[in-house]
Amino acid sequence: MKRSLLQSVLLRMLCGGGITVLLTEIVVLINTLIVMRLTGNPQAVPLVPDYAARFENPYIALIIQVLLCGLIGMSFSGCSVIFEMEKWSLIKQAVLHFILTAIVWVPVGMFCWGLGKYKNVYISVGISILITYVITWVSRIVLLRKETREINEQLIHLRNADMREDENERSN
Amino acid sequence: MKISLHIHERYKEPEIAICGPENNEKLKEVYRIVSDAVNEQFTLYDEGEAVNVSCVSIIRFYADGQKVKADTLKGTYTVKKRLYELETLLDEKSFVRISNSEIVNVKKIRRLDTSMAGTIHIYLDGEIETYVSRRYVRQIKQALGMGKEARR
Repeated sequence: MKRSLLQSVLLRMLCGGGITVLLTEIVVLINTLIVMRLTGNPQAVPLVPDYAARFENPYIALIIQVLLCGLIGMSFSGCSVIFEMEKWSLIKQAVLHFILTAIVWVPVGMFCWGLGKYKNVYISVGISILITYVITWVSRIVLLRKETREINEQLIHLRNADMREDENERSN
Repeated sequence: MKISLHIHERYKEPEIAICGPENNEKLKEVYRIVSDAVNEQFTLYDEGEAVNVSCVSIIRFYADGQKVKADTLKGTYTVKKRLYELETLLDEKSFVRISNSEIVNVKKIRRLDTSMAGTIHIYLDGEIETYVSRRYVRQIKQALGMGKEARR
């Protein structure tokens, strides 16, 4: 049965959110072990100090951070439906994808990791995102152009073969 | 009329040739009868009136709102079937899906073109220009018998 667009978005959000929470848990666990080892503090929690200061209990802060990471995962997974919009160009898809996901990850980044507090963080995050989108776009365009070129060559080849067959028939 | 049967391995698939010194009404009639007899026919509708059209003359089937339409060089007709139904009925070597809303006749494809924005345009006979969904590019390659992706 064909799923509606809304069903598709919700399903992707659910899967994406779940996977992100799971992966974040693993990363947090590894980070915690590293921080404990480095600081020698068995209760150390890997959090940005400004963020941790918002909470009385660091473990609550950690759980909320993991859930917010899941929210980012949900936004990226749900917005991947944009790339299924057949009539939209790659640029339109990429711009819309960026805007919609940024609505989620920018506030979360500001809240959890101090994004926006330092100018350098803004610039480095901006550049890395831009590079990611440009690499994706260029590689897709190069691949598509290669494929359309091959198809056009095959079309010419088939047309020539048909013409040769017709000529042979006439000469026979 | 002289009728002959040629059996030779150079014929990749059965074919019929109608030969004559000039193109006259009799030859056209024979061509029409033979074409109707051997090529799959489709019942299309022109303002409610049923018309039998040979599959080979159909350029594309496409969804237009709630309706499915078919383009030929003679005009546009309505089809009383859904695209997914057509997909199962049509010969997969002759017709290929190019997007969620369109199936085209492989023999009617002129060329493809990718724009810088990442949209793939397809040009068909009858000066028809439409677009190809990126996810159906592989199917087009298969239909054209390209490499490993060729349909068996």
